[in-house]
Amino acid sequence: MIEPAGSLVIAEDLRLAKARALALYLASGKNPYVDFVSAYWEEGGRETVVFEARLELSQVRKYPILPSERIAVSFQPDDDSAPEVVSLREDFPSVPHLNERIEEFPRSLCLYDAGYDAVRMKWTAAGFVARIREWLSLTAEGDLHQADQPLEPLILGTAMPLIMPASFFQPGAEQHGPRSFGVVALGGDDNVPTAYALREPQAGQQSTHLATVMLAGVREQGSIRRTPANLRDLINLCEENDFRLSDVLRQQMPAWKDDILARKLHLILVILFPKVRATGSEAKEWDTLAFFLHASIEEIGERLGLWQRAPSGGGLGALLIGAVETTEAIPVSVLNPMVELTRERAALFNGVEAVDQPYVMVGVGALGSRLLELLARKAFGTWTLIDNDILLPHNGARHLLPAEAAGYPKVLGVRTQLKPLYADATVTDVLRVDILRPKDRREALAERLESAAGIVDCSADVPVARHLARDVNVAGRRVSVFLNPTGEDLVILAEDRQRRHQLDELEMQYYGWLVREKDLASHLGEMAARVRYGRSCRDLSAVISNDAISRNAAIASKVLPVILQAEDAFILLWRGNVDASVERYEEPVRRSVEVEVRGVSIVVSEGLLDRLRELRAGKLPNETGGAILGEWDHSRGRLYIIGALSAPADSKEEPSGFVRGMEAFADEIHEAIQRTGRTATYVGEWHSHPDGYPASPSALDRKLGIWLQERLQLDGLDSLMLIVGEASLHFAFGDGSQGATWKFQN
Amino acid sequence: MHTLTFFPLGNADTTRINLASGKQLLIDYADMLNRSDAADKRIDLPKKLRADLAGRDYYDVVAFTHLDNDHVAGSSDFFHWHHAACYQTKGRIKANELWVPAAAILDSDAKDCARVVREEAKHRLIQGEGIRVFSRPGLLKEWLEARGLTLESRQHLIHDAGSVLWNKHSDGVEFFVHSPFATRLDDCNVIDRNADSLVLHATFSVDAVDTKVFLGADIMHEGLEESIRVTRYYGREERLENDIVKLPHHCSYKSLGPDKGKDQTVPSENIAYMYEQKLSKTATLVSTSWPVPDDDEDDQPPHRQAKSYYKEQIRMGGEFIVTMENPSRRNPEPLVIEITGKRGRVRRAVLSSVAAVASTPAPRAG
Repeated sequence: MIEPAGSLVIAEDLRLAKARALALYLASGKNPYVDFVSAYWEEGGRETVVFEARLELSQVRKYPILPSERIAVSFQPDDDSAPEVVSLREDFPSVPHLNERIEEFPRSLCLYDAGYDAVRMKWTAAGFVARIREWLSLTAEGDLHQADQPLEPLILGTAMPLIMPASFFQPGAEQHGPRSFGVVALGGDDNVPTAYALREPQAGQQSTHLATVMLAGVREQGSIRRTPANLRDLINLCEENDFRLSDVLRQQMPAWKDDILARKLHLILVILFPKVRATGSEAKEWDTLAFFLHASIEEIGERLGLWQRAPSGGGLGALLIGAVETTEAIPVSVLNPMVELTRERAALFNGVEAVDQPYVMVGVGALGSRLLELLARKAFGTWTLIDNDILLPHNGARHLLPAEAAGYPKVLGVRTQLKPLYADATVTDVLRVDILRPKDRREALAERLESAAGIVDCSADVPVARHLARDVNVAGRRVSVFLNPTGEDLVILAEDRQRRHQLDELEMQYYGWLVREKDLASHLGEMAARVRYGRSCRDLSAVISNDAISRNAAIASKVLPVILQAEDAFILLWRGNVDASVERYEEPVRRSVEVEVRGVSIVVSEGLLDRLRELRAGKLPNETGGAILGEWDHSRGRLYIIGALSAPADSKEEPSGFVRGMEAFADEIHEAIQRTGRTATYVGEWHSHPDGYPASPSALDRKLGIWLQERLQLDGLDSLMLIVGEASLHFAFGDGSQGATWKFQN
Repeated sequence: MHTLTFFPLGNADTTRINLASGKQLLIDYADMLNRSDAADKRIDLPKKLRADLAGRDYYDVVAFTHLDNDHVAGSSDFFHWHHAACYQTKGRIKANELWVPAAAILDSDAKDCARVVREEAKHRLIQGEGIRVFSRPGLLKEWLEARGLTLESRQHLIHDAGSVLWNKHSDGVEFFVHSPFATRLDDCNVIDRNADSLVLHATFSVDAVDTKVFLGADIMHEGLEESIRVTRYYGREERLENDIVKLPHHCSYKSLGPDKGKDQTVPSENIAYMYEQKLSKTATLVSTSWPVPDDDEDDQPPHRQAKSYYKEQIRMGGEFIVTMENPSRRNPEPLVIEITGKRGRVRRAVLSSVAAVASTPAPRAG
């Protein structure tokens, strides 16, 4: 057994509270699996407690831990760092999670992955002993090592980071020998760097150091366990692992000898040790180590005995015969090598898989830009951005871009802003164009829309959404993401992958839902206050809180990847409440029926058809009816039917006819129009026919049609008359002379 | 997971096997606690077993390796026996199957609990169910014929040395019979309980990993030596491999060799072969005994010379555990060994405060 430092004392004479607590606990018999052995006191106040721990071990062990292990715990007087726990066994195996030490023995157990400040709050002697026993048991079984951790890093510790490009090493590259990189010192407002970064070598680039990446031979697992003190020591450690570092350096150095700039640089060695996971898996891993040599290349050459520097400090002299190697004079620091963030790794840290499919985002305003950033951070999609706007100063209040970028096109600003996220780009392309009037960029626009797996519309503009739905003939599904006028509610309308449900139809079902659903009454009904940002009539911006934008962007960022990978269409809505709670609503998507009358396409969802039939059936044998709400798109010759109201209370509902009353009729229509944000208008009336009668207009109906037409022409609109029969629905304009019948499917 | 449990009973044996399938086996039953001595640290076996049975009222198998008191003590108060109504009072624990060596049936000296076990074994053998007898086939012929029964009619209940009971794949464990064996009992009219005791080798299987356990009863070196020799002769080397050993006869030197030795017993040839060549490096050796003394004052086992030999065999990562010292001499507790796909693991969980407060009602608050 290794003898701890210090002089033997009895447990009662220990002065440090934790050392005493541990010794007393060990001697108390409260834990029958530990026995107090001895205690030590050192000049300076460090105290050590030694005990025997009996462990719960399986007979099949990955590492040769013994059922009983002798452990020493050393406490510092200031209790500022974790008590050091070492095995006093001289042949304690090299296992994962040992602390870096100057000397290899005694082996120091790395018990916690949390910092000592966190551990100290909860430290008890019993818990500490339990953790030591658990550590030893888990280590024996090979379970302490998390599966995704690199295998047994040679040297753990708090060394300065060395950030490397993902491409710093490619398997197979070893045949070409060591590869050199430039190095940039980072941070350091006091001239002391906080990290180093490798850079691909570029002509004319100023480097402070030179890094060279080299590959070592296959090593036995965990055979380097300590920090090399100097270059000589490092060379020895490498040789123990069958890697002739000295030879590699000797071959490499002459190439630098004549480069007057290079030879003044300090050298960083990045050494890769190939490793194979112990059991079952053939996956090769690379244990990457980095060492900072505190000497210039010309000094290293001299210390290796390759050349001699002229005393004046000028040139390098020829190799002296019998030159002595003095590499022990070059101090070595360990650096902590880590690979820069890639999209793939970013996705990993987000707990998802990177998705590289190409998508287009139309409109990178406040919501779009924030959503894009969130998607980019988890590596969802590669994006082409389409927007014609330039950033204005007031956008800075809510946009991803700072007000400082005002005056620049939003698409360019966003691309620039997101570029430094990773080495590989998320925004692959931008197009500054008005999507409704692309002019000379029509082809460029078509090309981009053509290649998209999906088009995400964040324009918050109905004409754009309608254009994307009806006028753009490409395969990618369309998704609209927008906010209500106050910015508190989020809406996502998503086409299915096959585009059986198109965006305009989904939009109408969404309005129909708002008309029906009481909880959503104020969703589009409330208007935000407006603030003027410029002098033209339209230079008004709604007052919308930045946090509402962020929250809704976050929700969209969580949902969009799921939607875009799914098959189905969706109508989703989140209501943001004053108390910061959020409620989610979903409307089932129904098929839309399209009927042509007199050159106008009338679009109605099967959900609404069902509702009309229910209203009719509820009043049989009497007839019933009411108002119809819809939206005209005169430019495309389309009439969307949004909703139907039931008969006013004072209506006359009889088997032979229906006279629509007036009670609350206007109020209900206005209420419904309000609920749709004034999108819906009154477009006509519906009524039912009893069983056994066709849905086609009767002579009375034709008179009703003329009466309706006269009134709707006040608004310059055609009047719609819907007749709901037992088996079909009849659509007619005006006096009913021209119409079309839709037979119910079931 | 299966578990093996050894109980702190001084120099006495009780081994429980709980199988992952839910089956439970008890090998020997020795309630040794002196209930009038508050300082007696031996466990209250019936209380402990009942608590662990948790309402269940039977063991699938109860085996008695032989009829010495330290293997049967108190059994007539604990078990429900078929042969007499006085052993059928409420709350007794049933033995669905009784396993005994033939010597237990032929033993004419049996007294007290030993006699009761003998009578129960006789009763069950006559009835022809709920029993397995371990013996050379011909040995019971005369006894059966004297009762108007044929050997053929009971042959299926009688197992000779070298046979295997159960199947490790379907049952999770199989038992190989080392003893009693023919050369011992053939030419011997006097029953020697230790020599004729039931010695089993159990092979547990979890996730296709075998864990091998030697259940040494009280076999002495002559019998052990011979049984190992015969097993080697038949090439059944795997039945000599062990991960866990219940050391024979409470760590007596007499289960190793004829001479105690000054500081270490020298085992006889085949016994040395089993412990030195066939034992797993991480084996667990269990001495069901009092703490092993540092001196030779007491002639009774356990013997420090035997311990010294055993400890040397497991120095590379195994362990030697004395039931009365586990986890401490101050508070011996049952020794539980879990058997998983990583073979044996001695359970060493420290009582947590929650477990401690939950195990008894809190004292009255005033």
